Amino acid sequence: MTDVGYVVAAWSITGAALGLYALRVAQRTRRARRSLPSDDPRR
Amino acid sequence: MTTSPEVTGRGGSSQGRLLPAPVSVALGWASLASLVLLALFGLWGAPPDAVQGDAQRIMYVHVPAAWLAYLAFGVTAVASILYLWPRTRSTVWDLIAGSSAELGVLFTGLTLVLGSLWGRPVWGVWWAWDARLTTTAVLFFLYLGYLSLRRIPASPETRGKRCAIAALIAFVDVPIVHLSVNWWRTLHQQATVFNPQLNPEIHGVMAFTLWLGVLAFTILYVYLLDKRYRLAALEEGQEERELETAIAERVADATAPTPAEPTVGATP
Repeated sequence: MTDVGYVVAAWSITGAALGLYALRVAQRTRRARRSLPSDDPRR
Repeated sequence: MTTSPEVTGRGGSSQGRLLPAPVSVALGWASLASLVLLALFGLWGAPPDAVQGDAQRIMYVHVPAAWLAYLAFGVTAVASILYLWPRTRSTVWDLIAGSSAELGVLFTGLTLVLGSLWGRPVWGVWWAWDARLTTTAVLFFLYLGYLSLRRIPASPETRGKRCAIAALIAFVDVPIVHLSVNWWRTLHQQATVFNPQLNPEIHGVMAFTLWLGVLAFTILYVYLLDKRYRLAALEEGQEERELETAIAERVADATAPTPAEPTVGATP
């Protein structure tokens, strides 16, 4: 692999890891909010 | 710091957010914009290194990830102290500590992977049992253990105390990681910015891009910490409700009249 290949891999992994983490937290938050009673102010 | 709708101390529950919703949204957009700008400078704007060539461009994500890992574990340590201190004890600090530790593990994991990808073209190896690399791997596993400890069922107060103590013990490794390149002969280079002489060895567009990376990752960290804290608060409320329901069911079972059992040996 060339230097550019390592650079592209590093930046892609960074973007993917941070993006997937943010999406996963958002998904779990939506699920947790849906499980709240309908009159709960945190919904 | 604002929390809404309520924050209760001393073993009480915390609900809500760390930041008001509009601030969180603004941080999200600022984070995205600064990361795009970082990619433009890191991949095109900054010149290639005179010795390492293009491989050095990994530094613009590797170094900010490492610094943010330090920051995240620092926040965990401070929040843990505030939780252990009786006058400031609140579940809020425990949840901040847990949320920040998770982000710290994410950034430490990234640091290790990015360092490996940088090491292969520059050192010729993916991994070496070098002091900096080894202590960073130890840091990663220490906080992975901390996150596992948080998942062990216990009352919020018991969990909070034992996790706060574990977080403070694990934090001892952070200065060891940072100073390892000065204490031992290592394959890893010495600090470029925060070196013992406090004389940064990086200048111009390269220095600007590195600082932009630190800023972008810091904004992202604050944004993700707010989101992760909100999730932790919601999940804790959910656990409390499930516990209350289970207790109510047990109480109802205990107080309900039991059907009369047939008497053995009774005569009609």
